[in-house]
This record gives sequence, C-alpha cells and structure tokens, in this order.
Amino acid sequence: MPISKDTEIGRSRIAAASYATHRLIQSLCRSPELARRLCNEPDALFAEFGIDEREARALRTLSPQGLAEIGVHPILQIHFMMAVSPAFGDRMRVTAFADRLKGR
Amino acid sequence: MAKIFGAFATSHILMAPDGTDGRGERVFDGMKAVGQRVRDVKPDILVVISGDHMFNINMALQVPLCIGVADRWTPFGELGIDRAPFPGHRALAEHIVEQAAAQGFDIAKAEELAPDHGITIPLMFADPDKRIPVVPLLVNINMTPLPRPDRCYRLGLALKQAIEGFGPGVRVAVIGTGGLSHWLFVPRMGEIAVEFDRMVMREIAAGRAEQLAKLTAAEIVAQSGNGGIEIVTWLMAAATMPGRAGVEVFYEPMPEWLTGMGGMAIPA
Repeated sequence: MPISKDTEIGRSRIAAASYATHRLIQSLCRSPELARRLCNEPDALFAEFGIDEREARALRTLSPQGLAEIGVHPILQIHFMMAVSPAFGDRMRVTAFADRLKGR
Repeated sequence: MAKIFGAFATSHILMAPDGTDGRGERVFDGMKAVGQRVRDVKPDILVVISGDHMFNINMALQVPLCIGVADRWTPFGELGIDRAPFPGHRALAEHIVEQAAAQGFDIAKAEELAPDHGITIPLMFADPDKRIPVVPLLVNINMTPLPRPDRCYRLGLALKQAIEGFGPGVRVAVIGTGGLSHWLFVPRMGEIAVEFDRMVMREIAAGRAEQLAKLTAAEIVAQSGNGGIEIVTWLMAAATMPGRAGVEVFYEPMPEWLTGMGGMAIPA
C-alpha cells in the first residue's frame, strides 16, 4: 500500500514504495545479518517482510534505478546501496580525513 | 544566566578528496576553520542541530523534532565514523524541552539516539577530543510534512530563550548542520545550486535569516534539492543570534560529493 504520493521531498511523481519494503531497508543498517540474507537468500527475506513480487523484482536488481522505479525513499536508497555494495559505501567513508584530524 | 557565545552553520559530510581539483582539501580546511571558531568561544556545552539520516528516526515512528537527553552518546558509526562515546548534557536538554513546550513546540525526548554523521562529523572538527557535552537536536527533514522554515526560525528563537534561562555562567555554542544544495537519489542528482547557496550564506551573513525563513519548504526543495532543506538547521542556529551579522568561512560547490558545501560563524 503506498504511504504517500510524496512529491514534497523532491521525488518524481510516483507512488512511494510499500512500508513492507521500507521496513526491510530501514532495518538493514542495524543488522549485518539482514544485509547478508538480502544478497544470499533474498526471496525468503522478501517473503518474511511481506514484500510483493513487483517490488521484490525491483529490489533484486540491487540498483538505484530499481529502487527509484518503485519509489523507495531517497535516504533509504542510500541505506540499501550501502548494505549491498561495499564500493558504494567506500566512496562515502570519512576515514581519510578523520585520520588526518587525529594526526595519523 | 547562560549565554550563547556563538552560532555556527556547516555542511556535514566528507568524502574522498580524489579528483576534486583541490576543492575537497579546501572544504576540509574550511570545516577545520569552523571547528576552530567553535573552540575559540570556549563552550561548556554544544547544542548541535541536524537532520537524522534515518539511522534513528525512521518510518516506524516519524518524529518531527527530537532532542537527546542522555548523559552519554555513542555515534551510530556509519561511513567509518569513530564510535567512541562523547558526553551529553541532560539538564540543558530537559530544560530546552520544558521551555520549548511552554512556547508551543513539543519536542520528543530520546535516551537512545545513536548520533549519525549529521552530528558527529561537525563534532570531529569542533571537539576532536570529545570532551564538551553535546545536546543533539534533530529536525526531521525526511518525512512529510517537511519542517516549515519560519517555524524552525521561531524554534531557534525559543531555543535562544531557553538557553539564556539556563545557568548561571554557562557558555553555550549552537551549531546547525547540513546543506547546502543537494539532490539525493532524485532527478537532478549531482547538480549544485551555487547561486542559491551563495544567497543563503549572504542573507545569513547579513543578519537576515528571519527574512530567508519566509521561503517555504517547497521553494527551498525546488531550488536546492531534497537535501537542501537541511538549511532549516542553519536558520535555527542563526535565530539564536537574531539579526546579528555573520561571517562566511568557506563555500565550495562539490559535484563529486553531490552537494554544495559551506560553513559560517555568527559571533556573539
């Protein structure tokens, strides 16, 4: 069930993804195990969270385009990509500058 | 009476500096300069205002405003951020909640925030030793209805009044974090609205944050992106120094980091 049309936060004019999908994605940052299962046994995970086939198909693409097509919240698109793509997360790491601040 | 000795505003991300033609280094230097200005006012307590990036406030419980009241904070630690804890300040946080409520602002209290980069990256510069107690104030810019800029400004005024009723002799600095223009995972991602960013900084520097707050949230999003609405935290910080002139410390358009980056100081 779409939770809102949500044009105000700057998205394209498509219905938002279901709360089931958002609930899974917003859980990823607190559970490496969920992130692992997302990559290794996605169908079981999608069934557990009650995600319908249309959205499951988009999530299986593991791509921002797939997420955008079903109206995943932009911030949760980032959460998703950080969970499934180490390279995506690495680009956003602060480590280099943080180490310099500590004088390393 | 407590006193606010400085209000500050700063962007709150850092990415790899590679391929930025030196602009990443200038941002780093600028954020260091903002941090030094915070330390120069020798604050006893920092009030840091930010959005949360759905590491704490997610769709399960969509809180518009939230203040952390705990005695100690452990960062969420995303993006490789150090998870060493830093102190909170329960007495000031509770006082702000009470005083804000008296002025019509209901702010949720949280014991269990795990501050994300919106709070912790500015603190890496403002208090690298993690000694200064921090009151985190989160404004929900990710869920509808978006925060009204004029209401955020009035909340900043209430924050000022609350802080000045706390004391005695406590030195406080207020930091608003986020922005500047960025479109995150929406059409136009990667664009930077340089003119809009410079206008925001110019208005705040001229002591005209109240006028700037007359823009609607929709207007800010249209002109500076879904992430650009984070400037409501800048308006709130500026409201704690109403009408005072500020200093532009740095600005760099950073398309490689998908955002305009800036920092300001408004001394007492």
